Amino acid sequence: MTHDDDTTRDAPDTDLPPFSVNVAQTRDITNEHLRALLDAFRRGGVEPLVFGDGNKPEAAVIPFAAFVRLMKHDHADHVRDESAFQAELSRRIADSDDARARGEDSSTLITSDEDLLAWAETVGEPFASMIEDGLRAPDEKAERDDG
Amino acid sequence: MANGYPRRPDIDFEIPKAVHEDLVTLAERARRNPEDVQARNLLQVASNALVALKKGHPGTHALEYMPSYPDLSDCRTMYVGADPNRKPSHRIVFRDVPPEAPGQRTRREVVALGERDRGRAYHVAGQRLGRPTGVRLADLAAAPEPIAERPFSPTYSSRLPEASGHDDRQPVD
Repeated sequence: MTHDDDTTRDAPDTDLPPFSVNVAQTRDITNEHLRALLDAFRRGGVEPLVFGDGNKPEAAVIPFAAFVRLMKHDHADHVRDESAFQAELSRRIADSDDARARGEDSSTLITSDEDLLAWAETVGEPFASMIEDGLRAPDEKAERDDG
Repeated sequence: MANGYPRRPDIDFEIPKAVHEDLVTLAERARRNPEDVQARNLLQVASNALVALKKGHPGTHALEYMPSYPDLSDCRTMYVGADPNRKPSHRIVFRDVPPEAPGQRTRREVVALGERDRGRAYHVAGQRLGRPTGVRLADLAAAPEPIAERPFSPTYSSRLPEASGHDDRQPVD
């Protein structure tokens, strides 16, 4: 059967071409099959045992070294995503620190409704009108949005 | 939901430039794309939430220390969502700083407005407060140098995940 792998969908240049596998029926697999498979792995074989019910590939038995390699690959992806995210955070913090070092106030102190409205106007529309409406509205409006 | 946290109607309110910039971006998106209902709704509920926090709303709940996040145990969170039929997608992290002298007012700092997904709002809040992941506030205060200026190092387990009910797994290099 032909199986389209989608685990690398987001990784350009690493997409697997469609490939075929022989699906063993779960009920047909015996201890002897597993023993023979292990022997093949010990001899350096890497052909997996793919099995499932109804000719659907649902699981694969692979060499343990391949499993560890897969785990490392997934972990590397995770670290790469997190590193990009942390780099963006660090950039924003650095920008904020630079602004502070230049004497630019990095935050706005609001002591009244008028201050809040003036600050909202620096954000722009439609936000300013929303803040103005919110200041006029009864307090329970915000309670409704509280998840 | 606020777990007994008092409503504080008489506070000063502080909003960082970074939150201002996030809102400017969102407002521009809503302005340029009037059909972008999600952006407009998010802007609307964010404005409602900020007005409420300014009026002393206690937020949704206090934050607790979790090892996989910066310690924000002195902060609170408020849930914000653009779609009332789904779980709130965003969080506003804030903290109330007590007055330093008699006669002064409590200062409520909005620390971050961000996505709930993968705890991003909380990681952003931690960065803005100079708090590394997994370090308790007490340890941070006792640190001999500013930990926040060290390279940021997310913590990950280098071990394979442990299956429940199986304690006979072998370590893997």
